[in-house]
Amino acid sequence: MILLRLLLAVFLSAQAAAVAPEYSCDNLLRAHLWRDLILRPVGRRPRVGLALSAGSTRATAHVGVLQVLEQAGFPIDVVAGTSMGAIVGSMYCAGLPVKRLWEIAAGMNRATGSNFNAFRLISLLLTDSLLSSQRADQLVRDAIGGLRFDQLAKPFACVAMDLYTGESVIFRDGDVASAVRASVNVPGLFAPVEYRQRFLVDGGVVDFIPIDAVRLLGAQWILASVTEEDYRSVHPKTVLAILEQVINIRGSFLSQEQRRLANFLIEPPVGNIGLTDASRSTEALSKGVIAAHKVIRAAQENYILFSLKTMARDWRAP
Amino acid sequence: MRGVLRVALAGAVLLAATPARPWWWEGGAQILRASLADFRSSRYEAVISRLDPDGLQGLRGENLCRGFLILGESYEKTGRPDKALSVYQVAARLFSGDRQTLSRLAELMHHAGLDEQAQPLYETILKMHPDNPQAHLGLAEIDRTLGFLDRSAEHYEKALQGLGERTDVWRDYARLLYEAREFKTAELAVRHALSQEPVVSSDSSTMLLALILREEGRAEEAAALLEPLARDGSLEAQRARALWLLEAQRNAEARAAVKALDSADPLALYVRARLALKVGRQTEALEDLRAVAKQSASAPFTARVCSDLATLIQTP
Repeated sequence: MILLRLLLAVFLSAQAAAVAPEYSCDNLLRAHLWRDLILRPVGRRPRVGLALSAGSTRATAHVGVLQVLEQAGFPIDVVAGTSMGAIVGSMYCAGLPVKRLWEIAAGMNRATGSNFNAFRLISLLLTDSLLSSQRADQLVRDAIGGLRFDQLAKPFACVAMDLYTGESVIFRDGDVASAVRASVNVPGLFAPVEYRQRFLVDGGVVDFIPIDAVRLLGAQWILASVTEEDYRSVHPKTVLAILEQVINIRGSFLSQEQRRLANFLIEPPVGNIGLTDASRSTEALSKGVIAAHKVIRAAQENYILFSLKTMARDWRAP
Repeated sequence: MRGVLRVALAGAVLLAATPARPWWWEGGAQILRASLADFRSSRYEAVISRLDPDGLQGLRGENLCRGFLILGESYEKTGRPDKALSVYQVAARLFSGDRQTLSRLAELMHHAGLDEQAQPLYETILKMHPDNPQAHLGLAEIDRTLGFLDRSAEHYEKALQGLGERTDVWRDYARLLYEAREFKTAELAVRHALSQEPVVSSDSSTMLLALILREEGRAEEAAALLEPLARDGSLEAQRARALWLLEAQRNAEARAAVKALDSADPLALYVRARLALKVGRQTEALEDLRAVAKQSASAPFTARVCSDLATLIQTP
């Protein structure tokens, strides 16, 4: 209570001291340069790539991030996704409105992405027979039909791992739903997907933030939405939770380098939402909006500064 | 002082909770009447002194609730929001169904930026009174701060059903729609605000209308709107006009617009540098850009742009 009162006094005094920043120098110049930048076709401005990380239910926060980016008029030229990021990315690139993505994400439950239930789990433990990720395929197919990569409204790629070679496999052509299913296929829980003579599992194991994939699509400036687990705060006790923890620790190590390669990061604070917390997808969506809204101006400024060289070419005397 | 206040508030809690009342008890109506008279005459210190621990103990039921409200507001008016917060919090615990008490507490927290605490209070008010415009307004502002622009717009629309005469709310609603890139509706809302505003206070709405028109592709109209504001000395309008004229390639007018601004103004220098670059006067441009680059404390982004631009110009 005392702390709350102290906070109140600090906030009120800070507010009194602050100057209304709406038409400040920085805001006017940002709006002016932003307008100049986004009205340019790709080629006269750097191509923007959006990398959507893996992260099971946590990664539904990407939808919240997309909502803010769209509202700000952020140009998104190409998208790559891993695991749940691939589901979100594929639907967005197929042209589904963000509002529809929000409805799909908010309606997700434990059974949406898999045939995961108590009976199956017991079966998994007793008979060593893995589950099927067929429902992930169906989820994407229901939303976008049987579209191929070259039929999508925006260039898209997703990442899976070949279980037999350990290679990262980037899908950029063929049937979208099959590729997304491979990308979302949690190893140890779901049976590997046999596709194009490869045995594929979740790309999060090798490419947690798909920077390489989005670069392969021609992205020059990369914004990554990262929904990593805060594994240090989790103490797993069940087989499933331990498996998830191992995947998340591996993903976290991988993402350290990938973070450095992105030009800008948006990190919704969803670290405590686990693989089986499907009922918390609405919370993840909201956290995506709040996190993206907080930094959207900084993201615009970063992209403007990155593009200054290209823009300045047009500003100089011929 | 804080300890005494707490004891008094605790005493008031006990008294209010006592169910039986003697026949002669009028719930401290006299104290309240006197306090209200002081409050209406802006004698806030007198209210605070009258509703001291003893004074509060003399109030019961609805009178106590009203006593808390005017005491809290007196603390607010005299610049002691932390004291007001204590009063409202005790009142909200005692009279959890009283809309006014919850509203005051929610407003105080919201305006202090404590939105996580304010939000559930507004939601409680709306459960009791679904059309309460103040609660809708509070939630509209909170949702806007957090980034939920659609939800915020819905709350603004409900708030305006009860606060239609509030020009500032129409303008905030228009600004939200502008942020959400719903320019046509934003234009209608800001025009509504302008129709209600006295001419002297309409600068902010006019500036907003100009921004909206520009986004709608009506650049000429937007620039024309800024002209009288710029002539009257509005710094924001002068800066925006110079930038927009540069954008529209009306170079001679942009040059004239820059002259109206202070010679050290960062945006004036930026526009002047861009105009110099257009005609190949690189040295002049560099000089202006370097001058802005030094102003990183007051305009960090503008300074960074100019610093980077200066580096780019020097690189063959």
